[in-house]
Amino acid sequence: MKGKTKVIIISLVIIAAFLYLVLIGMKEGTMYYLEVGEFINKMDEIGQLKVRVNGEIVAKSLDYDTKSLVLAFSLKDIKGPQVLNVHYKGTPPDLIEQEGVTLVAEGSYNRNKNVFVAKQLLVKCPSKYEKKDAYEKKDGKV
Amino acid sequence: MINLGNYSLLISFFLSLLVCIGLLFGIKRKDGRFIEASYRGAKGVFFFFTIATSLLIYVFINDDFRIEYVVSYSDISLPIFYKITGLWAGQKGSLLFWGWLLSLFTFITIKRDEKKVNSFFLPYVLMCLNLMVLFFLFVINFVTPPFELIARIPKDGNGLNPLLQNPGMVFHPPTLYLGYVGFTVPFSFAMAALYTGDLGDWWIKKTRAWTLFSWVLLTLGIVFGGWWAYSELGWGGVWAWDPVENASLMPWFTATAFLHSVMIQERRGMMKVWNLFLILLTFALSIFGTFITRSGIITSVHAFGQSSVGYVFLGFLLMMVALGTYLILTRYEKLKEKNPRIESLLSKESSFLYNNILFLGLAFATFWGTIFPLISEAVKGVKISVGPVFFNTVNSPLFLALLIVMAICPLLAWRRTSSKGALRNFIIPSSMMIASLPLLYILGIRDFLPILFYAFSVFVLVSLSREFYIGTRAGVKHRGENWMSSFLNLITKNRRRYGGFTVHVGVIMMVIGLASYGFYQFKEDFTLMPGQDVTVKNYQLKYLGLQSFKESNYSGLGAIVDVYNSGEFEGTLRPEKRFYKKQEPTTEVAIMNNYKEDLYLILGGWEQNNLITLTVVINPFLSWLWIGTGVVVFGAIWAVIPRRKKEREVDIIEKDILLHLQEVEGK
Repeated sequence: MKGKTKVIIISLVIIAAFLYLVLIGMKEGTMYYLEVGEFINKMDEIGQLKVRVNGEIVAKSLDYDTKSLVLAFSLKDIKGPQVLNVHYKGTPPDLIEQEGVTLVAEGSYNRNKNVFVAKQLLVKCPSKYEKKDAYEKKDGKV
Repeated sequence: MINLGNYSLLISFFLSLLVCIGLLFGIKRKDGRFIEASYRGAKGVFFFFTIATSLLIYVFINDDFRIEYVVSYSDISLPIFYKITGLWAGQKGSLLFWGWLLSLFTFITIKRDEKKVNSFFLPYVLMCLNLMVLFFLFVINFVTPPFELIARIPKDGNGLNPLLQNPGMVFHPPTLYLGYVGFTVPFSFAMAALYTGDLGDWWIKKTRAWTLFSWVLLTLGIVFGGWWAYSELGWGGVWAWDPVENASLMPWFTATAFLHSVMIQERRGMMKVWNLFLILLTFALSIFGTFITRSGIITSVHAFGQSSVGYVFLGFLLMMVALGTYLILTRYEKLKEKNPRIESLLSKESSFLYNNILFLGLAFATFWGTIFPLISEAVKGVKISVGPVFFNTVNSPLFLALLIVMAICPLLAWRRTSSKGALRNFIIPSSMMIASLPLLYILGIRDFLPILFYAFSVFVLVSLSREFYIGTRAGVKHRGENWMSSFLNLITKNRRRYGGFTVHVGVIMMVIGLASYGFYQFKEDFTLMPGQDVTVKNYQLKYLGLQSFKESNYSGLGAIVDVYNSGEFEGTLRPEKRFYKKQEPTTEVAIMNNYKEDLYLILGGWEQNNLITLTVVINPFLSWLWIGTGVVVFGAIWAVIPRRKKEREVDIIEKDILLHLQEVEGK
């Protein structure tokens, strides 16, 4: 076999292995990304699957138990009235007590306790670029 | 003042437009006067751009709250250091800064070559660069004017987001932008080469310094970003595969591939199309990054907010890619000419090829994971989120494969390697690698992937040391020098080769840091009363109590924690919560590091009775990542700084180009 053919074969093997990796990664590394309302509507369909749920924190509902280190709060749909109760074991992230902060909770629903058990909370960085302006305009400050 | 800023920007825009027209005329009519005038015009653009940029810094320092942008990102109490960074803290300022850098680089490019007789390519390069400057000036003038006034002037500004008040944030954006903008210069040279149809490797030689310089800054920008996330965001990690982070990593992958594959073109004249494609891709991905971060089209924790500017960038991106692709396709036949083929499975060329496939794989996987949510929503109507698991599953093996290629490549010869030669080169590094396996096992590294990462790191380090050793020994043997002077001679006379090897040593240090952090991070939460202590691995942490304090622009609360390492007192750490005015409390972590590991404390919360929740993170070998970056930067600078014989070498390149030109004209 000529050198060039061998190189092509090796390259193809690398590419095939790569595509296989992408498939495996897609199977294990992807999850549904839903709004609170969508999640509540599709709860039966989703079952125990790991998902990400996006919503707005209800500031009054925040409760952090320093003994069990569990943070409990309700997550409200950004557009609708539906509310989801969330439990998260760990340190509360920064900037969650502000009114209107949106957050993505990653985890799955626990049917026995009727809460969404989050493994990870992703708070959206408040205002890096334009969001802050929008926020002010809404308040009518500017 | 404000008017001066606005007018300078407007003048720059029209001047840039004139440069465009002047170049078109000059090129078409082969009239040197138009081209000369364009050079002067482009310098004028830089001049007025500089006025506008300085003015924006000036109004920040002077707290000019008539300007909306200043109000949004500054206030009176902000330290002056961070007021200056206001220039790139927000969208409007960062675009101004980016555009200004572009015009600075255009200025330097002209300055370097305008006086040379054989700078036939310069008008075309300037055409491309100026087109981009024009685009930025258009955006700055008409879409995101930085000097826009506010309707009602407030007494004080809104202040800078506390998360951005960190030294990492001072260095991260400028280095990243310098890297992005830097690559537009080799890109413009590539486009000039394509346009003129003169497709030798002259453009690669001319832009070698630019390419390395931009690569170093892009690397630094990404690492500064990770460092900032690590020391400021308080989650104990450096990288989360968030779309905004990926946006900076994708062009880095293709740029690194480019950096390697141009060496083959220089050496063997292969991969001409490929190199053009890679530089086009690097450029496109850096603009694409701007598009996804500014348009808010992809859900990111960084939430840059939605704005129309992203789509303007998308339009620009599509236009440039279409132009580049058109040029490559129309000149494809010419590019194919006289391309030597790869001759052997085991040769430097083939290992560079594998390196390129792997880097492109990384870029593609990262791209795919980043945009998949978008595709899925558009095609199936379901939003899917792609988590770090995807990126780690796909990219870790690719990184490992790259490490293996990195281990093997320097041992191979150009064209073909005899199996005997290969064996001789392999024997020491591979036996050291095998010897390291039981040691790693005893140290507790027993998983498949990590053990391979560490073992191949050993392989690379040994084979690199061997290169330095053999080179030095040759000097001692053949020229009778002593070891020290022979070593110094070796590395100063072959800067490129040994600078490159030094970069690889740095990369291995980064790999060790990242692999240890990725595979063996420790993280746990504790609740503590004052006076209580807790043992975490080899550390004893004693919590003494809470302390409150006040600074000019914030007040804070800190937990005093004494740290003992294996019984010995190491120091006191104070993880904090800070209260910036009008803001929520933010976490300020406390880090104690040595070469072995980082102890990272996060103050989670506290109660009335001074009870605290403390998150303890231990990241093994993470400081190797930062030190390794330093080594990479040093190696790259070493490879690129001019030698004393520089003049001569540049002359040779110039002569080459001249000869080449005559040849082309002779046909």
